[in-house]
Amino acid sequence: MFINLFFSVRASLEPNCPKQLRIFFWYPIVGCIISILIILNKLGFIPRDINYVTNKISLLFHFTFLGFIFYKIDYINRNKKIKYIIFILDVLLVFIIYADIKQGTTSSFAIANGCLFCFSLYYFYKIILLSPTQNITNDPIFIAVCGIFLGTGLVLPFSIMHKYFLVFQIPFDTMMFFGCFLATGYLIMNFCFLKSMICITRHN
Amino acid sequence: MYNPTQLIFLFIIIFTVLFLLLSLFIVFIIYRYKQKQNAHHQALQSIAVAHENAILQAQIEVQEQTFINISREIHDNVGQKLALVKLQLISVQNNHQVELDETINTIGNAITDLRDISRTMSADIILANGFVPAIEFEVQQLNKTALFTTSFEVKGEAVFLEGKRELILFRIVQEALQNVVKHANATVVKILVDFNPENMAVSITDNGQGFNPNTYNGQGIKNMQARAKMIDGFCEILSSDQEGTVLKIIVPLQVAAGTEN
Repeated sequence: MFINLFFSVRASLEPNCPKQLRIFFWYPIVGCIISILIILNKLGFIPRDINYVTNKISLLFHFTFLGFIFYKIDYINRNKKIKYIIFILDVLLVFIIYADIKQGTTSSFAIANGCLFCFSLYYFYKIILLSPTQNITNDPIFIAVCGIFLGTGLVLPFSIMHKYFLVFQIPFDTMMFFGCFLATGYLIMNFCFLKSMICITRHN
Repeated sequence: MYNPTQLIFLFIIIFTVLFLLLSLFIVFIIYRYKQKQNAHHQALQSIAVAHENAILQAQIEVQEQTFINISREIHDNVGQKLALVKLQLISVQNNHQVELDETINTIGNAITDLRDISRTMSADIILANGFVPAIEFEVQQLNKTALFTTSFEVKGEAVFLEGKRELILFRIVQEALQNVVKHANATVVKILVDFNPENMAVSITDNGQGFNPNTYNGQGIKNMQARAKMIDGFCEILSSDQEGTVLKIIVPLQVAAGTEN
């Protein structure tokens, strides 16, 4: 996350940085804050409830911010419909998050990641349809979307299954292990973001 | 209660399979994209080649039309006028016998030269007589300069190419001979036309100063090669400094389907 922050700040200063990724450094900034809060929570400096609420708010940011990348990609969002979809889903997420906080569930998590996963699929569908003129493997947007696709795709099935894990009374330690393992999905996503930022800086 | 170790094991397997599936999907997208990109590049290349051919075709047509116009003008206008002047001079010959004889000779030579130029330029004459007689005529023209020792040889049974192809091939040979006259500093020029069952090969060999085809940057050779390509053939140049030049054009007798413009 911290390395990502360094590279995304550097990349945003590059003249050839795509407009979709120009403000990308905000994502690792929020990520870093959340990580610090989690560490503080583990150390006992912050109550668990506050940490839970901040996590949920960061989810809203995670969805809105990454959705905004898709909104900014002109060739998949010609009529700007995604803007309305993101807005509607944001409002919906606020209610679901509220319900989640009250009931201790993770539906908001599944919905946010599911939507981002669908946006990624839509992006892939669009790039296959478009006339291919650039080298896709060096395209920062493509790499970033691959990160979103892998990260959300890995986390999604488990976040959907979460309430069934609770029903089947899976031990807390095992659940903790699942949670930690799922974090690798986000790790892969951040690696892809990092690669994307490196691609921007290397282009110069 | 479930066995935690089994659960963790199962979880890791599912996670890994999922990761592999998602990665495979990305690889598939990249593969499809690259496939489409290659097709796109090929399409662009073929458009560029077609465009280049169309330009060349237009250039050849314009050039042929210009040649026809000049040829007609020489034959119908300048040639006629000179012939008239010659007749007029013959009619007043008695008074200034010697001077007029010289003038009449000069005009006679000019008329013959003009007819030769007209004949060389005219596509109709080339098409009517065929490739071999047209080359023979060019060789005669070269001989008239008395600067070259020429030889012209035809091997195999002469075959008529489709009109336009024959004309384009003739223009390539004509340009090659002009290059020999202008740039080669040669004394010997050999022309060989070899008819094979599948193709015909024309080679023009001179003993001139030669050149390095790899460093040569002129448009003339490129034009000849482009023209040869237009008629499904190819034009090869073998030369080096002070070693003379061999220009070889190979043209298939049958045109590949869809390549003839």
